[in-house]
Amino acid sequence: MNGDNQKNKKRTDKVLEKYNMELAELEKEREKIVSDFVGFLRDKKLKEIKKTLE
Amino acid sequence: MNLEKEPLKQNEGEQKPGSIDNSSGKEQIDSPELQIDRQTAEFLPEAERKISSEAKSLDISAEEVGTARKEQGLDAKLEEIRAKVGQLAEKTKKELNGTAEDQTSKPEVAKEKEKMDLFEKERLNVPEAIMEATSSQEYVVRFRSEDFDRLRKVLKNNGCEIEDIPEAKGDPNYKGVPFKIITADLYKIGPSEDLVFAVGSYSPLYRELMENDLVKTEFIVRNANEADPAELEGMEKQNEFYSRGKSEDGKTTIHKRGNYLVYEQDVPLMEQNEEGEQ
Repeated sequence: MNGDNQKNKKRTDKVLEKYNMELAELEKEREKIVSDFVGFLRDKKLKEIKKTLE
Repeated sequence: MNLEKEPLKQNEGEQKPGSIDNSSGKEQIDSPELQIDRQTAEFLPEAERKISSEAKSLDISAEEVGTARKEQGLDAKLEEIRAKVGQLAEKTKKELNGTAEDQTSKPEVAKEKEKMDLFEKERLNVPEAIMEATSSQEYVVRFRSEDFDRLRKVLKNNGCEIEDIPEAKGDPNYKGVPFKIITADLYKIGPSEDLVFAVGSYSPLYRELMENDLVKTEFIVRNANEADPAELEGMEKQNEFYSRGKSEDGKTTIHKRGNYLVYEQDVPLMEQNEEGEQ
């Protein structure tokens, strides 16, 4: 019984390890999308400020 | 707890502080499946929080953020990644339950990606007003350019925030609405001089705008399969996703995207109608 539990735990750990790795990759993708968009907002704002100053 | 940063561990032995173990009466952490569901549900809100906090710190209005989202195709990109996270969660839960079907989710992910890629290509090739009219639940309208004072009044009466555009003040050649409209019920589509906006179909604002003769043109969506074949004959293909033509009387512009037809037609003035009826 203990052997089965150990085996199940090992399998679950492996599945979760893989999930965490793949999720981390998707989080990176999401951060890139957000940071690109925020960069776009900043540039737009900066242009507006420059235009106002001129 | 920041679920995003907390890698999942099996619910046994190595409990985090504050978890319960049923056998010993201690606190226990949620099952991995529940944690996966939470992480999936939190995936996009986390991005939205960051965007809204950055926009706030840059003093950028919700309307401007909405316009930028459209320009950058942000929603399509986020939707694409959300679909991937959903697929990953489903696949992992199946694996945890011992019913792993490793290969089945891959075609689904590929199909989803293909769908998003196609949408992105269409977005680049179809006019924004037509994309909006055919892919959202909102009504798409073009304002009359001659009555901005009345527009301002109606919007204010409906609780919209108005912010004057300094460079538009006193400039008779200024193209576009001379003030920013800050409300979730109305947002700008396409170039500012075109005066095209999307109005929430759930919002009373649409009726108010119509009743006050502020809408010059409406974009009415119909299923292309139900159209009169004669209408489609004279249409000119602009690219692989989009065709355009005129109605027989030349008064209505007809746009075609996929199975949708969009009739861009002028709205008669209510006042004229009433006079005509008398």
